Amino acid sequence: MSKDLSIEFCGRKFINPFTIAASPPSDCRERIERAFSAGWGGAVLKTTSVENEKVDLVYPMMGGLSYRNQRHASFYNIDLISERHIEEICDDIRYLKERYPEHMMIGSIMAGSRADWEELVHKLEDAGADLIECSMSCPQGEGDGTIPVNDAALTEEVTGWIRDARRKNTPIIVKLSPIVTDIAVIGNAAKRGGADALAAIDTVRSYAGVNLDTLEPQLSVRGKSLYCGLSGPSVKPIAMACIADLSQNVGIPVAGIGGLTTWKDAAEFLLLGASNLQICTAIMKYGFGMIDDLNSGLLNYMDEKGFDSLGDMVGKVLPSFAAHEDLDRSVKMVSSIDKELCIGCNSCYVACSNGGYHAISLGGETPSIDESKCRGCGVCQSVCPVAGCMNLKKHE
Amino acid sequence: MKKECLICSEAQAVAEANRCLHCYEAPCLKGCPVNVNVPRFIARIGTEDWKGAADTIIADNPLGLVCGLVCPADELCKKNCNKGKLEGAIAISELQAFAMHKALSKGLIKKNGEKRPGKVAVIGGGPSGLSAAVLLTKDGYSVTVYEKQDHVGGIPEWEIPKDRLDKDLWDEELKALESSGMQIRTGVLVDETLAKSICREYDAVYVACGVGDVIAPDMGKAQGICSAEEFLNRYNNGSVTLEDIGNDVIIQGGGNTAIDAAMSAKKLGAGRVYLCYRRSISEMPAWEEEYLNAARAGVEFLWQRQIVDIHSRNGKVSEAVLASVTLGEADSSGRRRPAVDRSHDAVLPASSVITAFGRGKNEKMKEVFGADDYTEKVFYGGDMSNGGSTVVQAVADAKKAVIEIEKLLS
Repeated sequence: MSKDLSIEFCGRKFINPFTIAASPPSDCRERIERAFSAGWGGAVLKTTSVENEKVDLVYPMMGGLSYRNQRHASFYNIDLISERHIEEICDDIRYLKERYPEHMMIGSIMAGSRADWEELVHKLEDAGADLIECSMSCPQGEGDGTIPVNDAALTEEVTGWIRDARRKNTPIIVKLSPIVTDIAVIGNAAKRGGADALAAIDTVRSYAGVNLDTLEPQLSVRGKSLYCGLSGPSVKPIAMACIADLSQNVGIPVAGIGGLTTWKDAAEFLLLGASNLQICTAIMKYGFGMIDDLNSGLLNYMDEKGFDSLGDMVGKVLPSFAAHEDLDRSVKMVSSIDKELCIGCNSCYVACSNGGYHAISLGGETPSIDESKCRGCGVCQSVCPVAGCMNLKKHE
Repeated sequence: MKKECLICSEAQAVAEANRCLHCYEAPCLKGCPVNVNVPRFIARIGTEDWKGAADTIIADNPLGLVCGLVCPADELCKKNCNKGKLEGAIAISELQAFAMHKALSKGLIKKNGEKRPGKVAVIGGGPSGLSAAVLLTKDGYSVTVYEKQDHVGGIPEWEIPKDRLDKDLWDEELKALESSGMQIRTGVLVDETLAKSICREYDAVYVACGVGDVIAPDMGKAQGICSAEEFLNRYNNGSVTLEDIGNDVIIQGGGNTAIDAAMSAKKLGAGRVYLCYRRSISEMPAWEEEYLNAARAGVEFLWQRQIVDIHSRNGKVSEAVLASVTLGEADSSGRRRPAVDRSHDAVLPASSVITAFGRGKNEKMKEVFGADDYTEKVFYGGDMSNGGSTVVQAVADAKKAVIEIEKLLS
């Protein structure tokens, strides 16, 4: 087929939107080479700083979020930025740009003063970075607790320094945190400051849990811990909300990050407005080889749905957003059970009798639904373990 | 919910696929004779990329559907599945069959590549021949398949019983293979003359005619005696009934064909079906799953027994004499040497006797094609060169030969 996954982001042509996020997977030249050879469209190098910035990592720094013994849902981390400073990062950029000219290199930077921001921008531009991402948003590691992206004025000011430092018009991406009152306010502040794009989201401020045997934190560093950044599939709904909000209310390109694992996640992010897709957690689970499955699924989806390019997909679903009061209440929907698929676990009964409208009863081969009581609230569908077994239909 | 097969619905397939850990250096991939990228196709089932899953399977196995249905998966891909060390091995072969069926029924299989010069003849339209033909056709070569029966398919078509291989699903895959662009000439038995002209006309020849003739020792002329292969042939095309085999069926043999015959006799309704094997259960070559299925179906296994005589009445089989067999030292195959001992004969009523002694080597076709100046363009594979093995091994043989053929043609 002649379709491909190329997409433009801030005037840069990506061979595909899949980009390694600023994280451990992108903190090593050899890893990025492997990723590019495997077909990844781009990489955001792990956030770097000026030479004399003290970066003191602690271990352990990562854990798997366990839910009922399933440790795959998400990760949490108390990682910091890269221990490698700007000179080493720039060497990597020069090396990789020469060998992989079609793949996008994004430098990610963090600084504590205007002069430092300027130095980082100059060096990245000189090294040939395709885009610059500004990290002001990690939940952990900020000494005085002020993370610029929690504050609109600060965000606008710092972004302004970065834009003013620019000499080659390299696109600037400002990475945002979801733990703010209104992310669009921060997004617009960054835009006023001169951001060309926004990246949403950074990890979500959270807590890993308590080890009930030892009464220590789950992510314990010799007995102590702190709040950590949550990532992976469990944060995807939060990421999607932020991507959609920014796409509708700010109007500059959005790089989507947060729980992206499969081609379906990628399609959803694109449809909600993202035109670049960044991944970290899934890489640590599945390896760079996952790019083949991402590409395969997305290309086959484009074929099936008739999209000629990924650009055609960006933001396509945004018109479906409506205010709560404007949602249609005139059609009564009721739930239904597919008797062929039902396995008889009765989860729907539990949900409906404890949180629904008492419309489901037991006794037959499968539970039965009293359509006069059912309001189509959706709680039964939400707990049913068999995809496609329970559906809402119009009440005749 | 109806559960006739392990995977009946998309929901089941997706749920099962999402149990997979996608191991690195996965034992399932290593255990597959054709190295299908199992973790990858399962990942794609898990995300409902049906075309992607099928593409992954077909990339290494053009007969993905039939293999998914008949492979001895417990001994191949599932054997060392890491989930087997936790709650249970992934249903790999079932997932493969399901994904292939989904893709075939939706018409999602890729088209052929660019045409290239080069003509290849394939002798034998069974799994190995068809695999080679499909692979070469997809790479752009012109292929003609010569098949002696009136339609292609080989062992899965003629011998594997429909209860073990769903005929509708096999048909679905066979039709897709037949329509992939190769020429098929059925009802053509290739003799020396035709072989010579084929060798002259084509740039390469792949000979995959299957194993040799059925080994059918002389057991007398009474009605009711036949080979398992013949019985299965007739069972598959519906031309044998319970009346033909009667209520007391005795089968001699210990391989999968013997078990197929036993199961088919049970399916026809025979009350007593005995399977005599001259060695013991530990030497029996049939796959364990097949043995268990037969035991559950009520087939009675007689170990260390061999039919030495058949009595008849009015020209029809009436009894079989089963001698006891003692097992001595191991022979070159590692199995203990059997010796018939007539001091413990058992006589059983029998309405039919079915022999499953396997097939001999196919030396004839090797002679037919082995002559003269054409040996560098003639390749062999499948049961005729591996001695009689699985469908997936036939595919593996075809893949190897195709690599050599394409080297020759380029």
